[in-house]
Amino acid sequence: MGNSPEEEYDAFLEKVKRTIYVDNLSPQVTESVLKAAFNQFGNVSSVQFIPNYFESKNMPQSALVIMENPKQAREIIGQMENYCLMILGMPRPVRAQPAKVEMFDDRPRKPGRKIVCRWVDPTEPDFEVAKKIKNLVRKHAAEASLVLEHQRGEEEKLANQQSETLKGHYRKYELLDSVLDDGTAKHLERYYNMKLTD
Amino acid sequence: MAYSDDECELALDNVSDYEFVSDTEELISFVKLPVEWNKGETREGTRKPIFLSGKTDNGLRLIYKQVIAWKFDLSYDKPEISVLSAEGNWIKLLKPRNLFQDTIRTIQITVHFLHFAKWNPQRSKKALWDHLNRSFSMFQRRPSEDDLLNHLQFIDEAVKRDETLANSKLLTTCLDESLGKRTFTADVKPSFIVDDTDDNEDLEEFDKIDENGDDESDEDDCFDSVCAICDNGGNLLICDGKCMRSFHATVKDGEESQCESLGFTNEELEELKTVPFYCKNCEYKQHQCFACGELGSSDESSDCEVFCCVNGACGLFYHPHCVAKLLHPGDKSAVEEHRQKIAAGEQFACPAHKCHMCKELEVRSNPDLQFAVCRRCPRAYHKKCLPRGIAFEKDADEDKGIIQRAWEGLIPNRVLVYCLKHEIDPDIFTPVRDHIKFPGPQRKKIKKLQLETSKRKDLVKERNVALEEDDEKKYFAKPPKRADKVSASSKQGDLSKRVEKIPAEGPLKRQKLATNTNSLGKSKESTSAEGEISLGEKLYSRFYGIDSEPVKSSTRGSLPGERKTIQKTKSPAKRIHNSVTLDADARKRILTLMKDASSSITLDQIKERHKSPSTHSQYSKFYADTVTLGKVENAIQSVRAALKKLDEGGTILDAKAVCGDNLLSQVTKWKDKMGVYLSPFLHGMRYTSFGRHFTKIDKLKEIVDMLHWYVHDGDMLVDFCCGSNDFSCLMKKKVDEIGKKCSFKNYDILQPKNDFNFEQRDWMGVRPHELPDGSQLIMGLNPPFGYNAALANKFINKALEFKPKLIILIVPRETERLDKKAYPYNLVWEDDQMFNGRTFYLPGSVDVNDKEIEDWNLIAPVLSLWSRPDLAPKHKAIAEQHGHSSGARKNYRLEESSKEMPVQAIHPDKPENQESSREMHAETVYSDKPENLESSKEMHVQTVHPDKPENQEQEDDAMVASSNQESLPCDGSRGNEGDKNPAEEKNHSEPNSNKFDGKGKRKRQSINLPPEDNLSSSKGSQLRHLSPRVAGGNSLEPYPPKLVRTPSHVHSDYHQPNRSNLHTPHQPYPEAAAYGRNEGAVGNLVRRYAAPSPNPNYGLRREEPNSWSPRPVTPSYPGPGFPSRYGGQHNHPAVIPSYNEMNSTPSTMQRYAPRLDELNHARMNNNRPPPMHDPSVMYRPPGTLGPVPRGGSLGFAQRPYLPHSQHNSSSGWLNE
Repeated sequence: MGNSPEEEYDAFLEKVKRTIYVDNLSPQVTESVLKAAFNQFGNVSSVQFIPNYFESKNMPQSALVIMENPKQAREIIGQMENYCLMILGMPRPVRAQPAKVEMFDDRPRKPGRKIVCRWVDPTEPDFEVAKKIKNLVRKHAAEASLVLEHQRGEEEKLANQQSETLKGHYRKYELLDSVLDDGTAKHLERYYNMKLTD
Repeated sequence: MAYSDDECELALDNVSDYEFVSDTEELISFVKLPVEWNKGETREGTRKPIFLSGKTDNGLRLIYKQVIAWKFDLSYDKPEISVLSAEGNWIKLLKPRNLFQDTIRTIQITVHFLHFAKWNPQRSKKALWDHLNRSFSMFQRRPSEDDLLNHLQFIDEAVKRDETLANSKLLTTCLDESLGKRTFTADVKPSFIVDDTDDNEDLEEFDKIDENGDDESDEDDCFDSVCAICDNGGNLLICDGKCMRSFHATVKDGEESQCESLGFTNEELEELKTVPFYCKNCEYKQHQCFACGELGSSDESSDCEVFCCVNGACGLFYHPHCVAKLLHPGDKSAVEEHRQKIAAGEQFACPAHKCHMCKELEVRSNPDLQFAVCRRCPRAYHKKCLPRGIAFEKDADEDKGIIQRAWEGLIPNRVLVYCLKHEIDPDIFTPVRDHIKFPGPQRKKIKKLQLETSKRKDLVKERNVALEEDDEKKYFAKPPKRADKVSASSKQGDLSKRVEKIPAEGPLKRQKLATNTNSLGKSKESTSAEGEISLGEKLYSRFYGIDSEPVKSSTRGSLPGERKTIQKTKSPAKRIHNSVTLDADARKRILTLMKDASSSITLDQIKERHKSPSTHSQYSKFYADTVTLGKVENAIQSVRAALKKLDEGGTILDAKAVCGDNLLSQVTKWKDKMGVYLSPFLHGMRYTSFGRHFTKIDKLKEIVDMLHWYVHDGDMLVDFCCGSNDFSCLMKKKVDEIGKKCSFKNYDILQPKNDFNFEQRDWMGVRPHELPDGSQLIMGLNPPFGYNAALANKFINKALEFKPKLIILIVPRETERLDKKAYPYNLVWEDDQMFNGRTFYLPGSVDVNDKEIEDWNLIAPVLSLWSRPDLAPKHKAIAEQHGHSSGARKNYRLEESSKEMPVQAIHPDKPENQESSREMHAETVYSDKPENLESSKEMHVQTVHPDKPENQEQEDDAMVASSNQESLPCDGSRGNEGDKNPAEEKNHSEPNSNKFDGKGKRKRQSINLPPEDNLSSSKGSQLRHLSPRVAGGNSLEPYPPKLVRTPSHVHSDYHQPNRSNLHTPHQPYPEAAAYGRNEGAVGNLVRRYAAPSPNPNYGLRREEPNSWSPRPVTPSYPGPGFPSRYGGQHNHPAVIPSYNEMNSTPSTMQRYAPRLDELNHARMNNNRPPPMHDPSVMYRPPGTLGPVPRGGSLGFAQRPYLPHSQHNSSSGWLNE
């Protein structure tokens, strides 16, 4: 690299701008699938899956798709808002949003920002604060997992419902098909002396 | 949730989480109220009473009040809006309910606008909009001038009354510039709005056209669609059960007819919609006898008391004795007999299916013979037989006491009547509505308003409780108002950030956040006032800021700038708890938040936002839900019953009483529609491509090569559905090469990869004045096909509006021909062969091997060039000059690009070959002089295989064959041979052949190589086969056994690695298997553009299994068989079998064409005499008669690879 941190960071920011964050992905989606899916609207320069830390098994549900330029990224996001893009059999559309800096695991350090870690002694006034922050973080995690849990529940419900509906419709289709298929309709048609638009 | 105002102006109530509703429960903006400009000065405005509902007293108390006026106050730091309650109190509006925000958005923006203009008279317009954007950042739509336009009059009034405003420079410039110096009168409409409406009109027109053109509409639906309770139409809920009735689900839906409805609330209705709805009767299997009105069990499995009429469109139940009595009036013994039969389960058709007077059937197509059906008893009349006492609207005359008893138009092709037995209640225009009895617990009927409000109360109460428990909230509500005010702007900024930062949780969360914003801003304000504190504390306080923490935190301070960064990393709306496990309270709160968030989004809103292009609107018309299971079951049953009746010797009349002919046709229609609706599932899931389907580049190149001759300087090429946008790029390259200057315009609704001259637009929305004159336009290419080419027709019709000089199309055969249009175009040429085979691919979809998935059409679409009549002669001349004549084209069959020529070498130039080869060459570099190519080919062939005697033979043979063929343009062209520069051609061809000698070894091997070689190569490629299959797995129909078939090996050797893209997918389907594959693949074929359309032609073939059966036969074409076949085909027995095979089999042709390109397969195909077809016929599914076999993309399939494989073996033979 050899670039100054500033340059590197700028380059990174630029990359963020041309990145699309997609989630709601089917677990079967692979990098190449994703690439192909987005390649139809622009040139994908790379795809990065975001590990899913919330679930026990790490099945990425979201990914960063880095496009060739920011314009493409913007347009694709706009488009996916208008037309639901389904990727690989998941009967729900994939969501797309502009990526944020924080979504990148490998983001370079922001120039000029310094993080110093140190132990806080229980006697220090900050100790209490630090403790509170710690608790807060835990709390957030607990809350997030609750939300996720519910979300999953809802999703499952939705998926079941969808498959039920589908089954229902398919059953109708089969019924209709059966009567047409076994010649009943044809016979009747002949008796009636009418012509069906088959 | 802003609770901050309680300490000032106690007299003035304030309200948050509010919404305004009209007396009809619709959300309504307070703008409809009169404005009070000054004390006592109001203007009239209200028409209906408007109610305010919301929370007051820091959210503790609910109010629901009628309001009569509103006012705004710009004198504070923030604009304030208040409404006047009917009791005379002013109530200040704080934060609206989420759902309500959109309703009052524009007026809020307007007030903010005035406020800003008043207080910042000197600032720039940009600052203004920035400010507004910040203030309204929680909205999806950013504030814009459009929002002000609705309130121009209001602004005008405000300006008149406020001097400061009137003098505000900002306001004046703003209004002058951005609103286009419009005078503030409402009747002067801003120009762009006018534009908009134009657009809408246009679109509406299209819609209308659609509707007219859509002959499949549900018009002849033979089911009634009126509420069973009140007999009126409207928004109905259909029972999924056998009764097939419809109901008004909510009181509001049935308002017009004062229907008591099922009495559901909207919430319940939403819930209901997720599952099939069964009415109480069907749920409990207790139906009313339509004759006597008594409830009885209709459970066929036990103790059945009432039986359903077998007519598929009926759904009425009867006691056996009731219906028997009706069916045999006066004949007691017959009644008894029939009663027993029915009770024993015999099917019957109720009396409502024959005219009560003449006992004849209904004929819906004849208005006089349409039925008038009583809604209260099983009695029907022909319209002509209707008793005179039953009055239509026109005959009704109150004075004479004649009451209307018949309504037309409510039930399709029928008349709704109440026969003379029933007393009409003049208030409700129907007989007394006590005819419906539901089993099970009765619903209490509560008056609507009560019901609704109490319901709401409960809801809110719940929410309230949650809030109360959360005492911190209360604290939170306390921060003094002044802080709020000071921070107004900074707060807004902060808020907007908050909203933006929500990580990846989607729109759901977004709204929710907005609800929190107020509080956030406040706490931040409270904190930021403090001075410097240690870093840790700063951090901590920042969290407070985010987390709506209690006021304790306000003692800490922080720097706003830093806070932002930290905030971003944190998730919103959380509170500190000391334990990690969430207590019930917290859970509840989160759940409430989630619920709020999800309730703030409605399906309608989303539908609103996702407008589909006009072309697709038609598809939304069909809702599979309206075809209920009950209807289907009944219909199916009645069809069978009718047939049974006939088989048992019944009369047509009886049968038709059971199943009318319209019902029968309805069944077919349903099936078609369900097929379309379900096609993604029936045909495999191909989501990733938006159902798109692009033409392969090599095909496009061919088209470009032909088309460029017709292009003149200054022409504009319009691709109305550009897909990948490759065509115009290729075209551009080509015309640049030949030194012509053209412009391009490409439309599509989706963003292409290459945005060369691209405009993301719906083609239907492009208006003629946007493009140059028609004489400079060349437009067309590959539109979406749609069901029965409906979409293609639409695209073409639109294109014709521009009167382009040329239209080039890739459309299915069913498309209406342009010479049949009102303004006919002349055909220059067409080619129905070019798109045989795998000529399309699905963009954005890859198989497991990351290969793009290909696709082909069962019946190849036709490439055609149409000319405007006035220029037709000219274009025809060009066509002739370059050999693009239609006849020739027809046979033209060209496969992959000339790169892959090697095999061709084996087949010396048949005259027919010239044609295709011509194209091939043209593709690469040398444009289209057939003759040259031909010569080159000859040379080529010779160079490559000088030593093959067969070549000679073939050649001869070919000659003969060609002479048999009807179109021999090549022969004619031969004379020209060499008049281009042969050297160049030669060069061209030779390198090619050389190249192939090296690279393309395998290909040649296929014919020439010794078997071992084949084997080895096949191994490699077989692997490849597997994967594509798997890719095919998309269609979820694996054909594993086929994969292993040896023939595949045989074929595989044809594949060069570099071509694998093109061919691999075929390989797995050698011979018959290939055909089988079709079934799955057909789905893929289905040309889908948004809405999938299993066009019969493209669609799934159920009959396939049958068609497979002949397969075993195929193997019986052993080598020896060839000659005979060959002879049949070409009249030239001498020809080498393998060669024949290749030629004769379309599939092989297609596949190998690249290699064969020097041969004119096309010719051969064309020539293919009937015998040749025979085998294919065997495979051919019944539905595919006609053009299919040859064109068949399936070509492969149908005449699958067998010949080919033999060919292979024969190649060995050849070598011998």
